[in-house]
This record gives sequence, C-alpha cells and structure tokens, in this order.
Amino acid sequence: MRKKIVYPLLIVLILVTAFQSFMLINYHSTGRLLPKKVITGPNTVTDVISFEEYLLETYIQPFEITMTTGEGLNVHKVTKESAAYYSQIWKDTVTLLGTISDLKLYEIYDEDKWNEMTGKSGYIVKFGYDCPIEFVNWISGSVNTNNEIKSINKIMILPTSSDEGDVYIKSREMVYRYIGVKLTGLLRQNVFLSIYEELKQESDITYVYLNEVASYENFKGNIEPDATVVIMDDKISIGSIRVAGYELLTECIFNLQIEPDLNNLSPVVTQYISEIKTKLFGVYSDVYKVIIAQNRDLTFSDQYNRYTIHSDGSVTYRYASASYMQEKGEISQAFNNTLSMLTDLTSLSGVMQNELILTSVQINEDSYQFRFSYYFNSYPVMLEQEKHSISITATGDRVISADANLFDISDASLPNDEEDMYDLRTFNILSKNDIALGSIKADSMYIAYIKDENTVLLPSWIIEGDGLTILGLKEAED
Amino acid sequence: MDSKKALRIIIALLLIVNVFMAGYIVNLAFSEPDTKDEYKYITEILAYRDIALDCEIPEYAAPSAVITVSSTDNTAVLDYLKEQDGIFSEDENGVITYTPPVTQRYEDLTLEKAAEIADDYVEKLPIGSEAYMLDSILTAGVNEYRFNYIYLDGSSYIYDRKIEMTVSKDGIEKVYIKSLGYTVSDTEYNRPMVSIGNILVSGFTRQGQSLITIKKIDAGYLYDKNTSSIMNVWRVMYNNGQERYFSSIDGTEIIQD
Repeated sequence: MRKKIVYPLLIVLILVTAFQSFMLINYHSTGRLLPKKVITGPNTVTDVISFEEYLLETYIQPFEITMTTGEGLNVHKVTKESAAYYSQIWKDTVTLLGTISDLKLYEIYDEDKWNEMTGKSGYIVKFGYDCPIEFVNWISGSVNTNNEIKSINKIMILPTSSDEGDVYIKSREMVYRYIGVKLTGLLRQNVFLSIYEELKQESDITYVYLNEVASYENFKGNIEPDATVVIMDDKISIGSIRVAGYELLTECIFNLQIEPDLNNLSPVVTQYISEIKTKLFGVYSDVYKVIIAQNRDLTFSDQYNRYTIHSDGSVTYRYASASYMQEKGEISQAFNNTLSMLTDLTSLSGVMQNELILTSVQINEDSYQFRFSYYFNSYPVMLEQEKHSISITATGDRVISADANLFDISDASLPNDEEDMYDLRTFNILSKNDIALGSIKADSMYIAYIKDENTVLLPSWIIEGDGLTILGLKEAED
Repeated sequence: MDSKKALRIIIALLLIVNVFMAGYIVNLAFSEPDTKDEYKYITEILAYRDIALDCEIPEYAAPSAVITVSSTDNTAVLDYLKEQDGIFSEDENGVITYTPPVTQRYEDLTLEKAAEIADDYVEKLPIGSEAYMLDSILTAGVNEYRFNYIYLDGSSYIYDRKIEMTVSKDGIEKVYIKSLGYTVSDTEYNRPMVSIGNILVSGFTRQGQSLITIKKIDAGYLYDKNTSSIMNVWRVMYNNGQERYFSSIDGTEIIQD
C-alpha cells in the first residue's frame, strides 16, 4: 500500500520540480514565467498625415498667435520659427473649436469684453480675417450649435486649471464666452506656462498689447486692444529677402516682348510656351490653343478655360461658361478646387518652397472667394496695393476665376554678412512718420515685407486698418 | 541506510524545494506589473516628454526567428519594366527607381482613387504582390499621396522588401522598389527579447521643441548595413513618416542612412 503511494508521489514531485525550474529559468531569461507564443499584430494601414492635417500644417494657418502670462508688458508671438509649437497650438485650437461647437451654454458680451480680457494669462489666436463659420466647421470637423456665430475672427484661450479654461470668441462686434472648456495638448495650463517661459527666453522681440499702454483709453474703439506694439527693442536683426517672379514665366514673357514676328515664334519662345503648357495641363496640353495678344499677353484657351500670362508676370484664369451659376455648393469642395488650381499655378515655379497661407475667405452669393498671401521667415510678404497675392473664386464644382501674382522668395542676406539691425520701437516709428495713434484706425500692427518694383526687400512696419499703412523700418543706431 | 529511509529523505527534500520554489513563483507572479498598468505608465512617461502615442502599444512579442541574407534577384521586375514605357534604373543597393510616362490626368483625384491606382500597379508587378501590404499613406501635397507597401512573411514584416510610390493628378509619379533576398536559418521561439515598453521608455526623449507623435509600432526584420546581417527589430513610426528601428534582441537603435 505504501509503495503504491510513495512512487507516484516521487514522480509527481520530480515533474513539479522540473516544471517549476523551467518557469524560473524562463523568467530569468525572458522576463515571463511561461513562454509566450509569438503572434504579431494584424497589418494596419496608417494614415501618417491625413489631408486635413496637411492643410492645417500648410495652407490653413492663423495670422498670429500671441501669448502672455498676464505679467504686464510681456507678450510673445509664437512664430513659425518655433514650427512645432506654432503648428501644434493651432491644431489644438482647431480641436478646441470643434469642442465648443457642441456646447450649448455660453455668454454673450459686446466688444468691451475683449478689451477687458486682453492681457490676461493665455493665448490669442487670430485668423486675421472674419473666417466664415462654415469654413471653421469644416476644418474642425464639427457642426456648430451656436447659430449666432456667423464668423470667427479671433480666439482667446485662458487656461484656468490643469486641463480646463475659458474661451472667448470674437465674432464681428460680439464676444462669446465659453466657461470651463476642456483644453488639450499645448493649451493646458502647465504646458502653456512652460512654453511661455521657453519662448520668453528665446524671443528676440517682446511685444505689448496696446490696451496695456497707459493712454489706450484715448484711442479705444479705433485700435484693437490686442494690436501689438514694441516698446523696448531698438536693435533687432531682420534679414532682407529676394522676391522675383517665376523664372519660367518672366523669361517667357521677356523673350515674347522682344520677339520680332509673332506669326513665326523663335524656338526659345516655343520651348517656353510648351513647358508652361505641359506643367499646367499635363497630357491635355495639346487641347489648349495659344493666343498672343497685341500687348504680348500670352493666353492658353480651350472651349471654356482661359489662362492668361500678363506682361508683368501675373497670371489670370477665367471660366467662360455660365453653367457654374447653378449652385455654389459646399465650401470644403470649393476650397479643394481652389487648392487644385493653386498647385497647378505654383507648379510653374522651379523652387516649390514658397509658403502660401490662406488670408481671406469670403462667401459670395454664387461662389466662394479664397485669398492667399506669401510668408517668409514668419513675416508676410504683401503687395504694395493689396495684402493678398493670389485670389481664387470657386464653387463646389469648379474654379471660376483666379488672379495670381506668383513669386519665388529666398533669403537675400549674404553669408557671413552683418545682419541688418532695426529699431522696432513703435512709438518712435510713428513719431518719425508724424502719425499719432489717436488719429488712426488699426486692427493690427506687424512686420512685413512689401513687394514693390525692387527685387530685394527690406522689412516694414504695417498698420492694418481699413487699408495698409506702410512705414519703413529705420536701421538701429550704433 | 535502507532504501525506504533514503526514499523518505528524497521526498522530504523535494517537498521542501517545491514549497520554496512555489512560494518564489507566486511572489514573482504577483509582483509582475499588470500589462495595462504598464502601458498606462509608459504612455504617461512619454506624455511627460511631450511624446504623444497615437497607436496601441503591441502586446505581442517581436519575432525571434533568425533569418540570413541571400542573393537578391531583381530580374523579373527589371524585365517587366523593360516592357513598359517610362524610365527606370537600379542602384548599387538593388533599389529600382521607375518613372512611368504620364498617360492620364485625374482632375478630381481623391485618396480612394489614388489608392486604387497604387493597388492596381502593385498587383501587376511580378514580385509576389499578394504578400505586399499597404503600410502607410502620407498626404505629400494637394492631390499628392505617398503609399508604402511592405512585404509580410507570415506574420512578420520584412522592412527591406518594400514598394514606395507617389500618386498625383498625373497618375503614378515615381516608384521605388527595394528587394532583399533572405532565408530562415533558425526558429528560436523562446529567445530572450526586449519588450517594446522598455524601448519606448529608454529610447525616446524630448528633443528641443520637436513634438513627436508616434503613429505606429510593429515588429519584423531589417537589414543592418553595419553588421551586414538581418536584425529582429521593433519599428516606431512618427507622424511625419520618419521611422526608427530598434533591435528586439538588445534594444539598441539601428541607424540607417
């Protein structure tokens, strides 16, 4: 009887010992008590950068992002040079716009509220134009429940706790306040504070909101409280830039101007024309007829589409059929059509690195109008007479018209050369130009390059109100 | 000593050893962190370093089999491309670059249409297309998408067998075909491997103002030029399409050109 128990017990004990030894050996070699079967995950397709995300990193960006911790006169701009912050704050703001579009509780104030809140600790994100709510809804992937907001011009985000904050929306003359909104990413208070400290250390220029200036009450109403001025910085380095028309277009037009016989074009001009047609129309280039006007404007035309390259290098497009008059369609589709035209036009550049940002969206009765401006080194590059370089009108079906001044922009600062230093003190600039703040209307003030007949451009101080007031920057005194 | 007494002593010793080992194992089992807690902890550490995780941390282990390099044969693909219009070339690493002629213009190119064009093209290539899986899509511009296909051997990726192509309004713009010949030399299923959790915690730190989002983590095999061998690796893909590879044997990063 005993033998019957002892031997099986001995076998069981030996087996258990072996098994437990295996577990311990396995644990010390693989970190697991029992071996795990190797099973890899299912194949998944990753949308690394979606089209919507691409748009928020390229064409659809705010005009300006400013931040302060409420400490008096210290306002810093999040510039495109801090690309990761700029882009992420903007994306987080778009997410926030999606969040608040679902909120049904909000407070309504008049413009004074914006004045009262400007300077409080937080971000101000400015579109730089009244962005129609349809467009905002599209980029934020939301449906707006606040029927009162027709457009958004600026967004103020004031973090109040670790992941919540108050959000103010400036829509024409009204201000909408959303309380205790969930903030994500770089909008959260602790991240906001650390970014502010980092930018404060790195920024060359310190700005001041105009409502922080003692005499603001005197010109309140004419000048936006969040317009930024420079008080202290009298020696700031800003490089010069080179702005020229696309080489292909300017060379073609130049050679066309000196062409002796328009009925017998030289091989050089023929080659240029062929290259432009191929870039614009691809395999359909043969469909387009070439027409050269008396003034040597070059036109490509099929039955309905008419592209003209003017003697100054600008390009216009007109759709000749009236069939578009039916319906303007969705704004998203109209914008996609606009981008398609924009990339066709910019494909004429040999450089392809010129930064174009959407700077106006307008809803017309039968169409949408989108305007774009060039940027270089975080500063806008604008035309002397108007802010936007490219204007495209489109419906959900097609582009109706386009007017484009196309430029290749590059750094004109010479290597190892001393950089140009400028005195940015705004009140000095104004007084040297005999301008009193009380006498002007200003929505914003900023540094920009203005394209004139020169190719190399120096920075200017811009006062944007009903029009643009351009003030040349003075070089810093030694 | 009689045999009965010896047997009793052996049983007693085995009992003591087993009780001790059982206690130790129970202690180890309960001290092992729960996987979900571990992943939550990793996610928090990464978030603290401004690295966002936009994908699941794989719960599976990296493949442990050993595969070795064998000769790469591009003849079938090159013969196929010779029959097509367009320009192609093969570099010293065996990467084939092909630029097809423009035959059609897609005025309203959507992502779906572009994916269809890419899939159709891959299907026609004489390289065992059915094993190539669409891995990632990147919007490279307006009406411009970049597709990446990677070879899947059973359940493991061979990262050096891939097809990359850009599709735009003018159809397929450029195709890169990379091949790698290999043979499986050993299947070591109980080989010690480094978990992706360890790699994420030790290999990812904040770099200046760059805000990283991890879009994809998976495992497979990668040819390492430095050692001229195929390594078992974890792959981590960023939101800009950049890929980093880490040896799943020792956790070191494999730097590629």
